Amino acid sequence: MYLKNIFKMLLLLQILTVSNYSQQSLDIYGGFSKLLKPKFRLNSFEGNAMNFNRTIDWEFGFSSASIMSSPQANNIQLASIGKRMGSHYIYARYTPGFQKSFSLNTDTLVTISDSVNVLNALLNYSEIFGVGYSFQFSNSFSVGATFRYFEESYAEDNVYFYFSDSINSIVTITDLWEKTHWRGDVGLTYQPFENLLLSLSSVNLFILNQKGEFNENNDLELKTKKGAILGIDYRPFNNLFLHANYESTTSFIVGSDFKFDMFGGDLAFGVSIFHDKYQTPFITGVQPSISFAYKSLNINISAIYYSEKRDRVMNVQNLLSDGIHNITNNQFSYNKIAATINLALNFKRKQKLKLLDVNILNPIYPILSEEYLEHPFAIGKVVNLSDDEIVIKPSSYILNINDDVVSSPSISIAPLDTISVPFYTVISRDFSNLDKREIAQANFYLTSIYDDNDDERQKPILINGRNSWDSKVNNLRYFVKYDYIGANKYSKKILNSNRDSLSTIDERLTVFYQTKIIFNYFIKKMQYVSDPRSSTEYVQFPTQTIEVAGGDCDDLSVAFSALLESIGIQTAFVDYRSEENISHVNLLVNTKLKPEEAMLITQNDKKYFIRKNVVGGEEIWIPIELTSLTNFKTAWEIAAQKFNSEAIDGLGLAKGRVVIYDIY
Amino acid sequence: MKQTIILLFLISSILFAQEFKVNKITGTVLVQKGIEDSFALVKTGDILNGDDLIVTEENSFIQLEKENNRFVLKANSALGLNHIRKISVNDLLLALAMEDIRNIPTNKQNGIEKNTAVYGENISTNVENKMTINKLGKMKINGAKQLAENGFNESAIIVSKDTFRKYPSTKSNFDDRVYFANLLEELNLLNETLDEYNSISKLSLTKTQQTFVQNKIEEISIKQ
Repeated sequence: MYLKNIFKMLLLLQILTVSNYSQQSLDIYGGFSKLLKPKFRLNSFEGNAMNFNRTIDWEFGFSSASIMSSPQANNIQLASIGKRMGSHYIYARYTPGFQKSFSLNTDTLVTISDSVNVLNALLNYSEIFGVGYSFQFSNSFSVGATFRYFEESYAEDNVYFYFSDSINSIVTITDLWEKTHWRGDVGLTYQPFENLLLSLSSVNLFILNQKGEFNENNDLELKTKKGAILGIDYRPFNNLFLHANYESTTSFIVGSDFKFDMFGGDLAFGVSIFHDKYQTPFITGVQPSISFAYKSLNINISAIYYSEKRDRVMNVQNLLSDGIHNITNNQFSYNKIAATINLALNFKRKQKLKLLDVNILNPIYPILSEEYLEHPFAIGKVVNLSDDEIVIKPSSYILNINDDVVSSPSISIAPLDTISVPFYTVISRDFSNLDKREIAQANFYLTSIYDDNDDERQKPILINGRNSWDSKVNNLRYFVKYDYIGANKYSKKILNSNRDSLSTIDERLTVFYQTKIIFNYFIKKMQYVSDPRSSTEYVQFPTQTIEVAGGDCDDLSVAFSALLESIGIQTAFVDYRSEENISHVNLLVNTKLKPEEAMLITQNDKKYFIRKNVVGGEEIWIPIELTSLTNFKTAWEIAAQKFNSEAIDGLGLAKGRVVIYDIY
Repeated sequence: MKQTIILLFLISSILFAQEFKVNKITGTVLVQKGIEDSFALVKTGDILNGDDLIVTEENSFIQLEKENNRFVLKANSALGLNHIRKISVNDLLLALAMEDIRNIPTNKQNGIEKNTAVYGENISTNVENKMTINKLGKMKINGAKQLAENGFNESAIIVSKDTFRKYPSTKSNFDDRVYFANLLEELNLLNETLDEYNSISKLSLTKTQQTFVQNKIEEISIKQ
């Protein structure tokens, strides 16, 4: 597929080739592979007219070169600034070092009186500055254009003779010709695969706004022949990068770069060889380079070494025959070493994390506050957009439920990975005003621990009323624990009124008789009343049940459990699940009696059950049916019969049809 | 929760629907009906329910009949009639698993145990009750053995496990423990047999008994 594209590009190169020009794609910045972007930034328009950079925000570049002429010359090559705005990238560079001057010796002597003057000519070419713009259509395709401003001048000494009536004179005058113009080029890059990048750019496509000329010396003007450059960058292995630029004049540059991690950054070595049609020998020179990139900083040192020794003085015929096509790389260029520094500054937040979606697992039940500490109420789908592993801190805020933003445990996400992130919440203790269900907005936030980059999303969530229950018997314990103080007062009041009878019993029977006394007092005031709402499960808090003197099996079991638990008597819910989806809840109470003490409370071993406590001790538990609404003995016997038949003989406990939920 | 107690009782009654006719009685045989605390005398011709517990005293026995099958409970025995039935090995395994399911999960806090109040004076345990509970436990083990003798091995194991738990004094009888461990082995429930012998090895045993148990543990371990 891409071979076909390469063929098309080569064909286009031939079409664009209307005349010869010298090599344009050699830059002074090391000629690094474009695949090394953005860490190893390229300030060059030379082989990269498109010049799109994936820098985040601002980028500044500075380059200085030492020219190995005699004497050696040091100068500032370039100062640049670039800014990315989404898919747009604009770039400007000031290039004081892109300059080439020739001093032409005319071999013409002028002798006046006793002095001899040599007539000189001075030729100067300069690229003053350039601007570029590029647009990224997608991660794999970008186009761009560059415009560069050139100045050139030719100054020539000429002898003028002045004749008059009084005096004849000979004067040497320097004539000056100046010319300016803009060059415009376009380019594109296409990256079909992660390890392959193709680029195509024009050479001297537009010559705009030409002013001035050298007149009869126009052979000395800067050549602006049109052409094209095809670039291929390929990464065969993880750290090895190959690159080649082929120009329509048959000039080329090929090279390789090797990158590896060092000092927490990236160190790259590269070497390129190049061929320029207008220079000799065939391999015109070599360009070694070294570059180090650390976070936003990139430092690069590169050299251009020509194979042929460059003479200080050359025959002017050479200049006149071939002309100057490239200011920085031509048959008169000297070896040079350039140091370049790039600094990318990010003044805007780069999104590293994206919260793709949030799935709210269940509506919020305020009573289940402890559950939300252990189990997430929502799961977010998060993608890491960056090339780094990120530790993220998820958090959420639900209006009227949370006092503040609630942080969930941090979680690590690999580069470019997508993971599920759990969100936990903490229900504000004061939810007593939530009388009915309502819809609230839940805000979900993602924050990276080391950066402030984040994402957020808002989702509606159903907030149930304070008495709402999710139908899981295990969660009835939260209703039990809701108001221990009120339940404790009620139980103690009953026990205090029975102090005399309790004082005469066997100490080991204390729990049993306390249970019996509280039950008989509590139950005689109760009535069985179905749920007041049909649409959702509704459970009364213990004090509500006592106040309204009635409830269904959940309400009565919760209330009686709270009365016992509040004075230290251990209870458990028994959840009977029938195939008809009709379920029932009653209670088990820990009498604290040992198995050998069973006869203290009953002669029938079907009325109690042995359970091991957490330290391995065996204790007698008795079942109580709250909805019997009779006396303790009957409530005990009914529950015992049911437990025996369904949980034990019917193997309900083993088969999951009967489940015991301890209140803890 | 829109259930009624009536429905629950219906479900219960189906489970205990099996009835036994008393064919013959010698000596004193008592019955504890359902969940009642008291015992009553059994007479020939009485109809007993599945949730009844039969207790035979010294020199007594009872012959029961159900669907032309007869079952004799010998002297000094106690047996819940619902156990006179064939159950599958799978159900036996489930029943054994329930032993642990019933326990309080060890990863949970053991409730609120802050109540240090003491009400009333310390009255010693009734000696008569102590004697009764020990006696009833032993009777139940005898009843379980008779289940095994009649081919109800699985039921016998369940009854023995329940009895060992509810009547702790029965747990220390070496011969009884080995008897029911052998029943597990006969059913090829090697893991359960090994557990049982490991439990037996923790009893206060004579040297001979210790050697026997260790040999059994090794033998079963090799079989596994």
